[in-house]
Amino acid sequence: MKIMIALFLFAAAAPAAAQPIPPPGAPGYPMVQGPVLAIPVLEADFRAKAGSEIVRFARDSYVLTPQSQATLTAQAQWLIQHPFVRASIEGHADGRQTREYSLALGERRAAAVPHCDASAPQRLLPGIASTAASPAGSSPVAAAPHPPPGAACSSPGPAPPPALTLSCSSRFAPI
Amino acid sequence: MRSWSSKFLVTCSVAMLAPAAASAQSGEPQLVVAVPSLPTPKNVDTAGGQTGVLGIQIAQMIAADLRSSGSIVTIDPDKLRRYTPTEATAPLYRNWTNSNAGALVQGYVQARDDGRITVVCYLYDLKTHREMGRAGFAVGAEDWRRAAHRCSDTFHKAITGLPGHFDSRITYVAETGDRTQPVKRLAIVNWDGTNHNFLTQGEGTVISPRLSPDGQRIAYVSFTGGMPHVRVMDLDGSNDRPLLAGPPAMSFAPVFSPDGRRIAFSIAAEGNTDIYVVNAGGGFPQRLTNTPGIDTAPSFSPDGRSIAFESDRGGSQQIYVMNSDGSGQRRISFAGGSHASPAWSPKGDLIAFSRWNGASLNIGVIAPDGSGERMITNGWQDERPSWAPDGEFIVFQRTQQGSGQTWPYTVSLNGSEPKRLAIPQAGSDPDWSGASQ
Repeated sequence: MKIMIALFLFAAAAPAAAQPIPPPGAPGYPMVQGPVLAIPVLEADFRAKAGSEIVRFARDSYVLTPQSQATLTAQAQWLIQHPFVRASIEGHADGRQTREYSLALGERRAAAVPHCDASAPQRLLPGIASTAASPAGSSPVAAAPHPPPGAACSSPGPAPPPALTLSCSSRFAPI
Repeated sequence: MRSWSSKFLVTCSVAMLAPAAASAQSGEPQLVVAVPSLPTPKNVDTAGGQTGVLGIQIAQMIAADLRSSGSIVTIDPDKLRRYTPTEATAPLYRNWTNSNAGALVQGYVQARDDGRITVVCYLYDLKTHREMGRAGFAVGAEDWRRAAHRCSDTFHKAITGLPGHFDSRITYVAETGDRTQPVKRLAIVNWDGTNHNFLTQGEGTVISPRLSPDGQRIAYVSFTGGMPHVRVMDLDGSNDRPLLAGPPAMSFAPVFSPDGRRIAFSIAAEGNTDIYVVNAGGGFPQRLTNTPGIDTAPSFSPDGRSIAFESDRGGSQQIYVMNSDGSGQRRISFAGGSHASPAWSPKGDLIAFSRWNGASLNIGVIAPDGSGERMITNGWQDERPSWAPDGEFIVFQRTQQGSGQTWPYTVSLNGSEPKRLAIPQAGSDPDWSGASQ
């Protein structure tokens, strides 16, 4: 019924959500603490600036409403401003759908998000790679990542920066 | 009960009350089979117990197997006379006339020098005095149940013309952990809950296992590497490999063809899901559907010439049938609601499905021409039907309202109360398609 953006910070602790967080290695980048404390701070900032981490679909639908598109745009802008944040886009389907249909619908929903579109890699957010993500969270789980590796939006280079990853996946959400 | 002949009622009403009640409703003709204890030439201690005791246990298990089929009634060992091993191959028919049975199971259990046991079983027609079937095995003494189940399968086929499911196995996804950290392992278990084994160790998420018809390989969907994709491995875990070579694509819903040579499955890309078929050993997949909708959940007819599948090309998920080359696609489900997860029965006469009626998901069956749709279960969320080899039973996944926990259940076609599969933990995606050998 929804797409959810989940954030994963790569080895950083955020001092405060109000200030822009420098990229890893840059002056001011917090190196002391682990990532655990930072994620809730980042998530709160993300929710505050993007409006929501969730984009909802009607049952069986994969059509992005104007409201959904506005939310997605705000989410994308936040991600551009925080390039060292690893995010995953998960397309959730109704837990009362059958397994195969949920997998296919999740892929269809993930594909409806422009920066997950393998057929149009130029629409990817700059500096953001789209890769497959393993399913996170609850059961039953089914990830439908997009796009196929080998396309222009797979991880850039042999040693990609540690965080610039936008991944698209889908899963069932429990009722 | 009323449909029985009075003769059956007098002699075996106590022993057969429960199973007979269900079959009597279905109105099928019933054969009464006497199953006395199997004798042993010499009572020997084995790893599975004394051979004399094994003879009793094997007979009890054969009787339990046969009467779980709707069309067979049994008379159990403790109600029958005993006989000698020499009688096993030459029944004294006159001694069984008072049993009122139509058929008789005999045989023997014998310890072997190598520590294993020999189990031999025969089925005799008490009216024509002819042998109807026989089976014999040398098995490890601790595997005596397997020998009993295979005797049952042989007799079931002799009586009904269809293979039994008594030595068959169910593969499924064992679910442990909690909702935030689920652990999913492929597991396999005998249909009666014995001989439970894990095939993967939970290091990666796996779903949708399907046994090959010979029961030696398993196709499944793995999330290892992040991209859900179909893999194939041997039952012992060896030769694990992706079904498709080349750049990974999102593939799922695998199913073996009846000859085990091909695998049908779905690929999803760019918001479109279609059905493909490929040699089970790999190769270049052939695309069978090309509508913009979601075409998935393929299931072969037993002759391999047709494939049932689900598609939402008409707006909602419905069951379609096509020739196995992709031609002749036609919708067969029109009963309202949506229909998904078709499973073609081994007899070929029915397709099981899950139907969403707006409030619940339940298992039903429909003829391949779209006629005779009827529902089998009445749960909150019953889905993913898979047929037993005999075409009389279906295993499916039932989700409990509230807890969200799923367990495999079995149900007979005549709509008996579903029985939870006797496994150690919750489970999903059951598949009963493997043969018994």
